[in-house]
Amino acid sequence: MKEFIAALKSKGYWQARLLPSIEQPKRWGDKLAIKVALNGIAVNFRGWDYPHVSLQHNVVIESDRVWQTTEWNYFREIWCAFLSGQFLHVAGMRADYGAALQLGLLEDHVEPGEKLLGIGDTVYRMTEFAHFASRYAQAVCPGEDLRALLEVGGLKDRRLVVDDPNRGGTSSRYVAHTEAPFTADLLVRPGTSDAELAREARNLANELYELFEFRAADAVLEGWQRQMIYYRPS
Amino acid sequence: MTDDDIAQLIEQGHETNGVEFKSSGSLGDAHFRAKLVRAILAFANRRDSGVVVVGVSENRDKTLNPTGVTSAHAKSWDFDRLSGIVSGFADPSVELSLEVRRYKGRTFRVIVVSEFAEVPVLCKKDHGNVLRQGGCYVRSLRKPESREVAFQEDMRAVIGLATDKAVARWVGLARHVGLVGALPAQPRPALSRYDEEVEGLP
Repeated sequence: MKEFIAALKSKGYWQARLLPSIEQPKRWGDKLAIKVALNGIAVNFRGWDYPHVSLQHNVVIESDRVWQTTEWNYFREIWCAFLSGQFLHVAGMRADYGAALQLGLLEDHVEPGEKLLGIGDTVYRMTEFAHFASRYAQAVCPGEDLRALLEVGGLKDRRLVVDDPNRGGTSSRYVAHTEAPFTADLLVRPGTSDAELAREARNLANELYELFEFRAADAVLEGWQRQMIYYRPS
Repeated sequence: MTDDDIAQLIEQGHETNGVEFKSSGSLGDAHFRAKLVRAILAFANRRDSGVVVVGVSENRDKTLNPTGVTSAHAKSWDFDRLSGIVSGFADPSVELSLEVRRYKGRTFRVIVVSEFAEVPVLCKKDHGNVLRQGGCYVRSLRKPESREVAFQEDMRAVIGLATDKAVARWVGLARHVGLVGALPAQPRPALSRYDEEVEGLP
């Protein structure tokens, strides 16, 4: 597992850790039920669920955890649910594994080997992260707070681009220079509404964009969110 | 939804909980209609709902064959007609949209379904052995298929979704009228024990 995670972290990656506020040794009663439970709460706003719970493939069941990896096409990810309630998810950035980003009409030419991060992909991922954290809290530690840690790495020399052919483009090149990953530490409270989660996701996206010295208007990011295939905030 | 989204869904090579493929068919075909309605009702009862992509058949070896919707069938497709068909079976009604998408030069019909707003959608009319009056159709959590509730976890998922929505509505209203303030925050958990778990991974 560590090797797989290290390989993911050698490129661009998204890591989420969800931690119930009240520590208990055993949050999950039945290890066999974890896969189905996660499948029921995984977020599916754009055709590929977050986290990806494959029904076609088995999970690995160990003494204190259940986990699964996915390596298909340009999708690379691993999730691990610990009996304590901790949930770990690491996913590679799709563009680093061959996913072709559909760039905005006015985006500059992409050099071969240039590392990219989509503005839309970022707000989508933040939205998935915030909603999944909330659903996970409700399923695993209902009525309690949940600490949600996000880490986004492999950002150095990565260029932020408009990844939507129906939009224009950025007015200049926005490139991150930081070696350190982006980190965020959220407290997910019970009863947080979908609208609040969506706002939190937009704020997170803008915090990440700051590393690229870019900022998007909140309304623009809200527009991106509404563009997600199944996204219907209540 | 864009043509690229459709390409990605098809290239996954199989159905998922959020995607059901249907072979090309005509809205004039009663059996085809019933199967379409069953999938739509199931998606309406699913958290995050899903899409039905029409024009993709399955080969014997389970691989997908994206033929597109034939021109003869395409003539029958119309949003108002589809909406009317679904309304005839769904209680309460289902919010959906119909899109025309292209993949590799072929045309597909994509039905994007919204999850129910307040209460689960039930079937209000029989149709052969495909649809049953009073039936609650779901996307099974065990494998990607649209079926009437048969497993306990599927029923729990529907009840859970309805409960979440009811609670969210109540909390929203209670906040609006000042009945509920912010809950006191619990202390953030120490990372040490949780870190040990991650460090202990093989």
